[in-house]
Amino acid sequence: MGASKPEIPESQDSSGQSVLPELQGWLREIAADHRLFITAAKGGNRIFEEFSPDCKPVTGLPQERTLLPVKKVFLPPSEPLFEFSRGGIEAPPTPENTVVFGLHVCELSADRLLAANMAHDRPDFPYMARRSQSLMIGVSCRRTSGCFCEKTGHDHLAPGEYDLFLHLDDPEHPRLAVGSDAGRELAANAPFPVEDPGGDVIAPAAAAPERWPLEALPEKMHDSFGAVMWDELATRCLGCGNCTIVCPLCYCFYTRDETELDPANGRRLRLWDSCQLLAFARVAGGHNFREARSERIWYRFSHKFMRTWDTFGAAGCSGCGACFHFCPVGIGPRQVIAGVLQVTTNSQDAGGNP
Amino acid sequence: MAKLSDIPPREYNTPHNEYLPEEARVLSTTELAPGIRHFVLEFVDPARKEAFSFCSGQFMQVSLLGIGEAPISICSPPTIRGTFEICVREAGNLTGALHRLRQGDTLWVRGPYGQGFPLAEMAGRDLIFIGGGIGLAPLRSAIDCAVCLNDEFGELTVLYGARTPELLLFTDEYDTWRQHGRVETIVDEAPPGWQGRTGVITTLFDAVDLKPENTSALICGPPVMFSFVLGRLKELGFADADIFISLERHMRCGVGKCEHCVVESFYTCRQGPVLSIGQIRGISSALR
Amino acid sequence: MKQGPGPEPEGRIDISKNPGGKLRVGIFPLTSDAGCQLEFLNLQDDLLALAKAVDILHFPMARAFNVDGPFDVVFVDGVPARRDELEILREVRRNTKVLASLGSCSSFGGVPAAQRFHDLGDLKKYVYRGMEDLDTLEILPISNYVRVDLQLRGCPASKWEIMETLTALIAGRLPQLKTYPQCIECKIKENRCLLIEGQPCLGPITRAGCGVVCPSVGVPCDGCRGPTEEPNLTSAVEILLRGTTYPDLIRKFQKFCSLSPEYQEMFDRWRETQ
Repeated sequence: MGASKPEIPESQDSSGQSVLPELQGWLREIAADHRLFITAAKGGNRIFEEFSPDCKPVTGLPQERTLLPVKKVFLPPSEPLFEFSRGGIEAPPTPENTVVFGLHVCELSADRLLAANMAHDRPDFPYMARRSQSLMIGVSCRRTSGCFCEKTGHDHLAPGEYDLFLHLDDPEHPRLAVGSDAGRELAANAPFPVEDPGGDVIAPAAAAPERWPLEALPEKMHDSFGAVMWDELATRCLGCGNCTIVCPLCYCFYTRDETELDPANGRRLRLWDSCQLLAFARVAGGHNFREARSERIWYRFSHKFMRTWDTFGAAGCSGCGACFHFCPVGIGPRQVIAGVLQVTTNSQDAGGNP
Repeated sequence: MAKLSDIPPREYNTPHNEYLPEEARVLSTTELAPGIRHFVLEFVDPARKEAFSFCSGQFMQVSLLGIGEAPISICSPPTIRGTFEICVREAGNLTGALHRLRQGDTLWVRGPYGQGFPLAEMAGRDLIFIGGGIGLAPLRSAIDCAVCLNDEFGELTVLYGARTPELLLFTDEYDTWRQHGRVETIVDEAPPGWQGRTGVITTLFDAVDLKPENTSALICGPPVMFSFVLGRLKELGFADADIFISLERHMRCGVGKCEHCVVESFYTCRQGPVLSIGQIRGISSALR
Repeated sequence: MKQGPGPEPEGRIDISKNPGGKLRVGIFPLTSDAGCQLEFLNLQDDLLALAKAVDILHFPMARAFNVDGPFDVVFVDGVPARRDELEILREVRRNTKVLASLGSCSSFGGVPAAQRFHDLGDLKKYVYRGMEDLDTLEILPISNYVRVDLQLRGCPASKWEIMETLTALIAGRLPQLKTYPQCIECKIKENRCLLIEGQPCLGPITRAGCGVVCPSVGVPCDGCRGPTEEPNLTSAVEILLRGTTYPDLIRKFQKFCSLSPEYQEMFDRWRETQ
């Protein structure tokens, strides 16, 4: 049960916080019979990467969050829904068991909400085929990314909401909390003291820990439709789509058929889309149901704070701050939500839904 | 309302891959109007053909491999089993390619999707159908259903507008419909010699006598038509809960995942495409 | 996309009655550095299969004998800079069902359009010394002269778009060229963001389709593929000026796609503020 004395982690090099040396051995063991994703450094960012013997897993960098969220493992940026040929259509094989190591509290919480969304109503088969067989291993974060999970409620996990969680807050005494039966199996060979069953995991506190009035936001979002604040955001927004691509809780997609030189052979691809693009709501014939950039921005936030709340009782924003970090013009949820709360208290400013 | 806590993370069920279409054969195809074709289809798989059922107002995701996929309403009544019909206006890659299909060719479909017109709840009432252009297609499914289940409904009224006389669809069926009520048509513009009406569709309301308290309204057409028609129905005293409208939106998945068809708080593909005005009250972006 | 004068396309391309059932392709060079046509030869892995699957009937760079049509699709590389090239362009339009502008020269004037930012007399005197009687046209996108059915952008045009165009036309669909910004693909590749580091990267307002070649190797996007749909240029310029000077930024916009309507409108606004 990994009773060996925990070693002091490798000193933090310039690229950030590397993993404990004994962890590398455990990960290698996991990778032997799983498709294992870890996080590594790329261009100053943390990214999810498939484990290879010579990869260098890290648990944290000065930028704590990953560039692309874990959705990329279960909902790839581009995937064939099926291949076709003269023989008909064929769905791609179901991927093998996946383990993801290195998720922070907000990432685990958001992943769980995304999975619930994909499972809800009519399940999304390709996503669920990958996600339902997967194990998620969390690690402690240090809250160095200007993030705000306490505002959105994605700052804590109950046991069961993680499979395993590696507590690194005391680097001298790492401990591995068990959150599920599947996690327990994997923990058997872990080189750390195991806490079984594991308890609640709470993200490190932020300077201003008060939560947004999430219960009140759906109505306030609704009322803010057409308000001047969206026009002001639209004058700055470049419509680049960065915010949606890096968001752990954005998942929209489009489909496209691709053929080979022999047109009988090809595939129907599904690819990440972005609601911030002009063409997103355009139908054949040219009519566009969301022509104005201001409405597209409102739409994105209404999904996060109105529709997701109404459906799942959770905010569709993890508070990771990735959208703000990667926005060239600095538009982010904190500013927008402050604006929404403001707009509805000064109701004369609201364009408003009838 | 589903809650996140209701869905345990390790017990997701993955019963059916919604994204895999099935093959259907073109039994016949005719040109209804310039640029608009009508197709009678059946599933190639006999078991699927046997089991297939739908409601008026539901749609299929129709595709050709290597071209693409789009949502298209079923235009035949659910009372006809074994086949289903669609009406296609040529507007792009897929619809252009569909127009080139001939009898015996196959295409790919999945569905049916969405909520149709709640005809069962309208039993005993008069029905008014208000259509514009190719919006008559889903209404025709409901009209033929009402015609077939004759005793279930009161009087039928069809108000239908198109851009030109030659773009009026299903003209050879109006006489059958008239045996169960009234059919009034109007066009935006007409060549000299046109005997019928020209003008906006709301003028047709003057030609018919309605009992609003006992009538349900079923509407499908271009968004520009909605506000005028709804205004008129309100004047006549129709209740919001008795007016049903079929919305068009960009759709990719049909199952509430791709996010394209969302209108504020609902998925057009799941809660729609048919919604009552009561359901969309207060959502200003729904009726554009 | 359709632009430029001329009748509408005659519908779908029926290649079933062509010799061998093959798509008839022409690649016509006008004034340019020929880099875009070279991309056909750079298709490497697909080149042999491509040569078997389509009939490339006109391609002076690679063929000794060239046919003047009829074609299903013609790719025009470059812009008419001489009167005889204008005649070639008009003739080509008559002989093809689909006409595609290949690259940013034919789509937006490209680098040759730099001619427009100088006095033509001066250019003849200093650049074409001894050729003062040179008869040259004002550089304009080919859509100023003929109807263009497809616009393949970039300097050079992207191999992906060339293949998508050919495979689409063979399959009976119009190609789906990307209209979204570079940022989408750049984020998906998990590149570091040069723009937020303060570099003048045109990614957010430039169309994807090249595979974000430059930012992937740490070089800011130069905008060779031209503006996205409805680019917010006013806001973008404000951000870009954090990492460059005003004259350099103007030159950046003038480099490849100066004659795109969106950039033209921006230049007009600039001139008004001067």
